[in-house]
Amino acid sequence: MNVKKYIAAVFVVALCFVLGAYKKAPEGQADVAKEVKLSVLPGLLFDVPRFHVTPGQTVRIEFTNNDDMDHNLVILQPGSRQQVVDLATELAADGMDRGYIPESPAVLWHTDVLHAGEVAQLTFTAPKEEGVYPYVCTLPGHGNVMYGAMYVTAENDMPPLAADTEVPQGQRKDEQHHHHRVRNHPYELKPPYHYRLYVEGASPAAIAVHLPGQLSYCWDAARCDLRFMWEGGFVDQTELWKGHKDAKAEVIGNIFYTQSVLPSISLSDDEAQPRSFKGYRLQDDGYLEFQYQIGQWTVWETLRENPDQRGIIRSFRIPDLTDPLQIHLAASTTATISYQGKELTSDKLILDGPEGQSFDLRYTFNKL
Amino acid sequence: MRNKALNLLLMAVLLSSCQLNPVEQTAEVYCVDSIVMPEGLTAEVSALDFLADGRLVAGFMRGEILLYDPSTDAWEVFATGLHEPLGIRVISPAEMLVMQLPELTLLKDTDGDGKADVYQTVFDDFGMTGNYHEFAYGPVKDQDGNTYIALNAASSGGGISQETRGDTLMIGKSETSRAMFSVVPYRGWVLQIDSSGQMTPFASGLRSPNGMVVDQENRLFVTENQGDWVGSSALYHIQKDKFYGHPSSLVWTEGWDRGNPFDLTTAQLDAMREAPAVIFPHDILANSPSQPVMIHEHPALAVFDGQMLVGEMGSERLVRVQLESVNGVMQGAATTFIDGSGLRKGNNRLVFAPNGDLWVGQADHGWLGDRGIQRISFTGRVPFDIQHISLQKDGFDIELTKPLSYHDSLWTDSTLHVQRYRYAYHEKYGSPQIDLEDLEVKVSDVSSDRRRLKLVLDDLKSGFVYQVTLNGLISTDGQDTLDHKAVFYTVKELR
Repeated sequence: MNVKKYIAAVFVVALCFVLGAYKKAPEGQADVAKEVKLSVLPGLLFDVPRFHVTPGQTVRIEFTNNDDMDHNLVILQPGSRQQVVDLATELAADGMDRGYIPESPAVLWHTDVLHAGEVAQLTFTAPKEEGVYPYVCTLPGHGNVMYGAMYVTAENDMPPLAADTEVPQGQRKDEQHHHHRVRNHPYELKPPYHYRLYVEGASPAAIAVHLPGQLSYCWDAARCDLRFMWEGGFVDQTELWKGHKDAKAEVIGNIFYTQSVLPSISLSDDEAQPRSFKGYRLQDDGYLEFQYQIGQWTVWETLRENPDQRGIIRSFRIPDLTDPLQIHLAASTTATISYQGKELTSDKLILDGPEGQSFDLRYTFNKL
Repeated sequence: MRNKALNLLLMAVLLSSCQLNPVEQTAEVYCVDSIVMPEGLTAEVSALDFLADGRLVAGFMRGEILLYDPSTDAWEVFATGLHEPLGIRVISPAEMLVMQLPELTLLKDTDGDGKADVYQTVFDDFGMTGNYHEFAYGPVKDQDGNTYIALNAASSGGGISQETRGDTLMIGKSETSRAMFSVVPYRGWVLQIDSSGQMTPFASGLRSPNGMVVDQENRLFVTENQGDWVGSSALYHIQKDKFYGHPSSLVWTEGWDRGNPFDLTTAQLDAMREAPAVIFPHDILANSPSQPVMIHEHPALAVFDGQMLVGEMGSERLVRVQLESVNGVMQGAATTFIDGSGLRKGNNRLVFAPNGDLWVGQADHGWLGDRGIQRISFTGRVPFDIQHISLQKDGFDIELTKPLSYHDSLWTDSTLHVQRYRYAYHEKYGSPQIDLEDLEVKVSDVSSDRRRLKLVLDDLKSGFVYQVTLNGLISTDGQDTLDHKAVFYTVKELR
């Protein structure tokens, strides 16, 4: 080695040192703590299926048990998940006392068992050794499905989530949302059809009915009354169907009429007349005919789309009615209500006995 | 080596395909096969029953009621749009009673096209808050024509909707704990509806009673899930006006004037409480028991006649329960019936087919479980098992299904082990085993037919679960062994 080369080499080494130091300072990942918030999704899943930290980085995990089952959080040596889960299962009746934590060197850090609503913090220094460190809930039966992966690597080079075998199958989704048709039932649904469900704007005993022409209504079995009507779609029950957590069906489309005055019909001056729901019949063409009792009177009601599909017609039969009947209408800027072809402008319509035995109310949506 | 593994695999496939061989040729007591579910169905099974013609009626969490013909594998739609139908009682092919979240409904096919066209409300006079956990169970019918349903308490993991159904009493909710609650009528109750439609609030104190059955003696039993105020899951013998331990429901007791029941002391509540007939030890036997079915006049299961099978959601298991009356109090024991053998988790609904097959419907619905339907066919071969255990003044009498290969030095700690423990009654979610003890046991007597053993124990105590484990026992014909077979007897009353 000649002197020139030697000087050059020293210079390069020095430069590397300087650059290295320079490069390292602003990055400084090892000095910035990684904050991770974990909670629980229905179906025994951690909401965060994986995360990345650098070796030696401080990690602060806040685990909220928002579930109604007990859970813990246990962080393990790479490749040891099944073994630790099996050991936890073998604890059997001793498990509860030990927080479902088996004796094993594979257990690195863990929380206590968290009951519903409890929160725990885990703070630790990530291992120096690179690897995929599983985290898991070790309560009996949970460990085979409720887990995730802490990637400890210098560079964040986690594989695409869809191909990541370290996370539960159900969470291996493309990060980009792909639309594909999901079948909700083993049969095709053709309007009219209905669901009993939980939905905003009605009691828990709600019935949502989808009509031809992208029209729908919500009828309430607890109130024996119409609650609202909408056009443009039906309901999304994705969250409701997951179960295990409070959820309501989401109305898809535009609500054009809400029966904000209840009841919508009364058969005496006493609006608190007892009502009871008797059920419904599917007519030959599939439309629902509701049957309910108001005081002594039995009422049958069917709702169908307008022939022009710009609204819904409520048809009533109260065959034996002799008393006057009052109809209470809610003010609406998005719908027009008519009776016998005439638009109703006041908030009340009174029909005499024979008229009330069979009548239609037409709800037409204005241009939305 | 590889060939051997392959052969084993082939054998497993053959076994699971459930060829029922003549009894003498098979070592199997039963086989389990899985039903192919229709495409597009989310097979969270919520209800099962059978038509007399051998067709299965199955309800699912998304509101479908489907019919399945095992002879053709064809599925048909009977009803749609129901709200979590958790129970079906078939009356005829044209009439089925269904318990769904908001009501008990009679589905009727009035035009004979095989589909329900009338959804008639039979009973809906109970409250709803919109809480996801307000499940409704049943219906079961007793021999006097009464129908029973049970209403789950609401979960503190959920809330109360803006609009509810029925009266509200906010004192049915704890102000300090996250206990389940009952702020609308009859949450946590069993209700009786007589043949004229008249409802009587029947019994209170239930938390999550996901299983009901009436036995041949016209007694009503309900399963209960471990949680707040339930130390370990249980089976209750439900009797009129009794309180089974979860405080919230007490507010709907007629004339209740003691304020928020969660403010009563645990001792006060315990004094009011009727204890379980059978406790299912948590993390040992079952963590989430579901529907019971009675074994009655079943040729292949004749040795267990009058006993009960109960589903378990948390593991690949069915549990067998045997009861006896001690001083007029129903109590008894539970043991495994099927453990693994291809059975899945999530065993939510059970029903016997007219031909004796046991059908099991599975669900998870956000909890531990599985989905689908499995059929368990019995070969008629009698398993070597504990047929019956009965409490005596000085211990237990155990009856085995087959004679035991017996010698004088058979009994050691490893072949016979008895423990006792109990579970706390408290607000906390579940209880560990407490006062756990290994017990000295003596086999005083083996009957001449070698099927009956007398276990003698000192100092029997009520309020405890006695766990008797038999291990390494061999039947006299050498064909069967009984390994790690534990039976769990809940001593509520002493003789």
